[in-house]
Amino acid sequence: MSSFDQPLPPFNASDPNASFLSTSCLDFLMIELVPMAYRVANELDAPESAGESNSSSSNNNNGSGETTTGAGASVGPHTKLEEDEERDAVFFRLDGLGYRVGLGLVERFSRDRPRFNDTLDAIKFVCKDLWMLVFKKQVDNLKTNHRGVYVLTDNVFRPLSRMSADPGGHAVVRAQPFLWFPCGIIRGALAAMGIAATVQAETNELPGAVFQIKTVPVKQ
Amino acid sequence: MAATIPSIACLGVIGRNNNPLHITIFPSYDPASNTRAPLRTPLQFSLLLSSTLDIFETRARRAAPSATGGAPAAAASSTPLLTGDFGLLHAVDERLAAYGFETNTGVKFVAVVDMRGRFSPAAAGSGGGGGGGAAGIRGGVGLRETELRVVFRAMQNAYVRLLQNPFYDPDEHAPLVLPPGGGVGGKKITSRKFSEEMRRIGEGWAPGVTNL
Repeated sequence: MSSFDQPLPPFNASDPNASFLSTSCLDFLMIELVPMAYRVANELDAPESAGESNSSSSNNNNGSGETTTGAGASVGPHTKLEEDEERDAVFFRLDGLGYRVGLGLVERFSRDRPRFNDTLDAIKFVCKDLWMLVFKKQVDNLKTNHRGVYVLTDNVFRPLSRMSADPGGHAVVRAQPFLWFPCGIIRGALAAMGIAATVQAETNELPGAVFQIKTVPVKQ
Repeated sequence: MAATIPSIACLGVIGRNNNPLHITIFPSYDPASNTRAPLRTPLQFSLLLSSTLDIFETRARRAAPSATGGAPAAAASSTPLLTGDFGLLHAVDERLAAYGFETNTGVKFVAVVDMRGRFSPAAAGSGGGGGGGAAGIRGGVGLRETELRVVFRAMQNAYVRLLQNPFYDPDEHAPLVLPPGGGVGGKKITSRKFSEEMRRIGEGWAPGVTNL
C-alpha cells in the first residue's frame, strides 16, 4: 500500500543517485534476519564451545550417532546455549549487522546537508532524516538529560506495526529481538558521525518502541 | 612559455582519525622534455597532504564557536559552515595549490592542483605565444574555488559507493574508538574500483568541466 505512495522528503529531487525500493523490503528482511541470527548463533557459537570439550575428551567417547543427531538438530543436549548467552549472541550479531548498515546509510544520506556541530544535531538527524528513510516516519518524542542520554520514543514503530499475538502469547518478549537490528543501525549511524554510543531498545506495548542512546564521552 | 592549463597533480582521501586512506598521484606536463612526469615524489605529496590537516582543523575550529555559544540566535546569525567545501587550503608555490573538502562523517578529500599541469593544444594553436592564459582558455591564475566542487562531488560519490560495498569494513580504516592494542585501524583503501575511479576523476578534470 504505502509502497505506491509518492516518495516524500528527505528524498531529494535533485539527487541523481536516488534509488527507491518497496518499504516492505525491510519487513521481509527482518522476518528472515531475526530467525537467521538465532540459527547462526546456535549453529556457529554452540559447536565452537562444545567443540573444545569434544576434542579434549576425544570424539569416540560420545556415541557417534548422538553427535550426528546433535549436529543435525543443531542443538545437542549440552550444546544448547544458555538463554542469556543465546540472547547476547543474537543481539551481538544483529547489532553488528545493523551497525554496518548505519555507517553506510549516513555516509550516503548525510551529504548535501548542514554540518553537525554537536551531538544533538546528529541525534536530530537520526530522529528526523534517518528515521524517515528507514522507518517511514519521524520519531514521536525525543528526550535528553543533557548529559549524554537520549531517549527516542516511537509510538508506532514500523517493524513492530504488523505484529500481533494471542493474549498471553508473550508478544512483547517475542518482539524484542526485532529491535536489535534497528539498535545497530542507530549505533552505526552515530558512529559514522563521530559519536560513540550504546543503544538499547525495549517495547512496553506493541507497536511502540523506546530507544535509549547513551553516548560515550570521547576525548577529542 | 608553452600553453598549459591547470590539472590535478594529486588526489588524497584522509580518514576521520587523520589517517591516509588513499593517495593518487598524476603526472604533470613538462614543457622542457615534452613528457609527463609527477611534479613531486610520493613522499613530498604525502607531506603536502599532511600539512593541509592543520588548515582543516583551524577552519573547523573557527566555524565551531557559533555552535558552542549555545544560543540558537547566535548560531543562526553567524553563517554556519553549510557545505563541507573548504575551498583553497593553501597555495604551495606558483604551481601547486591544495583544495579541500570534508564530509559530514569527517572524511577529508584533498585535491592538489598543478596550475600548469597539462598541455593544451587548443591554447597553443590559437594563442601563438603569450603568457599563462592564452585565447579563451583560462590560464594558471585565478582558478575559481567552485571549479573544484565537481571533483569533490565525484570523489564523495566514489566514497559512498565504496561504503556500499559489503566487503569494505570502515572500522578497519578509521575506527571511532581506537582498540587498546592498536591492532586494527589505519588501513588504506585497497579497492581497485575506488582507485580506478580516483584516476578517472583526476585525469578527467580540467577547468570548466561540469560533469565528472
